Amino acid sequence: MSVVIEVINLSRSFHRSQSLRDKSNDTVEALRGISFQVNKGQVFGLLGPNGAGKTTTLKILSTMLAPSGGEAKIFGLDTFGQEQQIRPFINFIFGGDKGFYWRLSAVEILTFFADLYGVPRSIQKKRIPYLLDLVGLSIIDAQRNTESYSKGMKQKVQIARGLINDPKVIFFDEPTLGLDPASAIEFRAIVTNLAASGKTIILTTHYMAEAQQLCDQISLIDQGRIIAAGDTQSFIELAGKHNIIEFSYKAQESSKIALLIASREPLFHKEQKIAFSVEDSNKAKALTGQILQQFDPIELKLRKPTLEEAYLALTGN
Amino acid sequence: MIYLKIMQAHLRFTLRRSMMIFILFIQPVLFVGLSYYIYKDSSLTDIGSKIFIAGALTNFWACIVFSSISDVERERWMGTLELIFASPLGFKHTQIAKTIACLLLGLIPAVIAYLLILLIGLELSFAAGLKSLIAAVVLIAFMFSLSLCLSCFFAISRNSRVVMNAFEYPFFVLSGFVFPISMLPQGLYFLAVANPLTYPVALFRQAVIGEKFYLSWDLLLLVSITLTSFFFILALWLFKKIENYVRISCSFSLV
Repeated sequence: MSVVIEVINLSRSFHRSQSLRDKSNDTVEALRGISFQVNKGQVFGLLGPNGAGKTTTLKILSTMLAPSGGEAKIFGLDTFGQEQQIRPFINFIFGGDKGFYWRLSAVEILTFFADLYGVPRSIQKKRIPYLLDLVGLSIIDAQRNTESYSKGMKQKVQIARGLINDPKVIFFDEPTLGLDPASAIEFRAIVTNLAASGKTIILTTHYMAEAQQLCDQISLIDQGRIIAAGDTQSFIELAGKHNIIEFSYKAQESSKIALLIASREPLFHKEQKIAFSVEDSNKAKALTGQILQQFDPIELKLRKPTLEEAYLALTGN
Repeated sequence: MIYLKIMQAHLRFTLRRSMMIFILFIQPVLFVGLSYYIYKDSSLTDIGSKIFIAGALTNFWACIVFSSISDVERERWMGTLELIFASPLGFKHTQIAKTIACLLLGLIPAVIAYLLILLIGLELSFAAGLKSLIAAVVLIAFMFSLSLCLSCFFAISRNSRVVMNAFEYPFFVLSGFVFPISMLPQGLYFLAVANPLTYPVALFRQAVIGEKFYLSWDLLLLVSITLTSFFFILALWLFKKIENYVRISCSFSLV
């Protein structure tokens, strides 16, 4: 598969000042030498806590920011220096209320951005209704000023705007932020279809189920560094939790639980529900036997960990 | 063609802002009224033309400031500035198209001022002809070039909103929009002489109402054209420079 996005030892620092008078040289290292690559048609997930450097990475890749060091390339072209050649083929969708002309309708916003991307009016006439339909905005809503839109509707316009130039590479920064569950499911179907049609996608999200469902490859960023990378399964394995035993116990068994906790640290323990992680199947069998011997569990489950649990373990939460 | 499309979108957006509706339709009425009360008891002749110039130029400048320069600040707060910047058309061409749209909008208050003067019953005695036409073209070209430069400065700095409002009213007085700078106290007079906007305004006043300036018409024209060219070249240079600068300094976004 051909490499579309290549990030090599990328770093970015920001000088932070509180006011005009503030001359302090407070530097924040947002990225500290990250590297990854994304192949054509892949959905690449960038996960990490707030302030980890995800948005900074996307802004560098989408030619909005210059790197402080390292390289960011799309189709072999540098995002800082060869941006004019890259821009027609990429687009970006950021979550939240920003990036919006509140006094224009969705149709007017899409027309404006289509013009900025040099999309001919003849193509706009077909593409704008198609995109509105794709994101689930009715033509009546699309002709109203976006000022009166709900958060979810605004996000739908953002998604349509990000697809207005039929980009080959799309950057999504928390795209389902503010979407209701039904719209989020629709969005995931859109991303899946885009990837199937050969688009290369980088996605940041706080919703682990979304990343698990959509992403072929995942990198976890924390404090500007990639701390784990791979496909979803290898990512989970990296967290060192191969099996999870979860069970609910009766209230009168609380004293026995204290003894179990003393010998083994639980993954979580809440309202008579407790879970432990075990490294291999033999240890899982042994612990299951111990639980059945000592307790009369209401429910006992042996399962694989979720991406969310791996994420929490890797970020030290 | 692309400029026309961007101008169309910008006009649509601008005309939905209540602030611009005020500047375009209410402010000319207030300024013409104010100028009328300033001038009506003076011994000056041809006050109709002077009021027209005051009403038209002040509102023209207000349109430039609020719809073009502060537009950069507004786009930054809306989060659309970086989207424009990272589009293939880019910031430069988008801003040029928007500024042209603002110049067109700036003609609306002039028409309103003209009609108001006729309504008040004052006489308008403009010196029509080539000189007036040249002066008007130079003045508009100067405003256009200056506006482009200022929009670049506003794009560079995230603290530009601090000085944004200072651009409107002081220039009414320091550029000779309302009355000639020769009427200013000495300290302000020197500031007005140092203000580049004074020269194309003086050129316009001299051509249209024959008002005297400390420079002759030919010299005033030369200075005005030189300043216009300087600001236009500076704007083009700034557009080129900020392409990299804003991405290094991260001044296009609030994050």
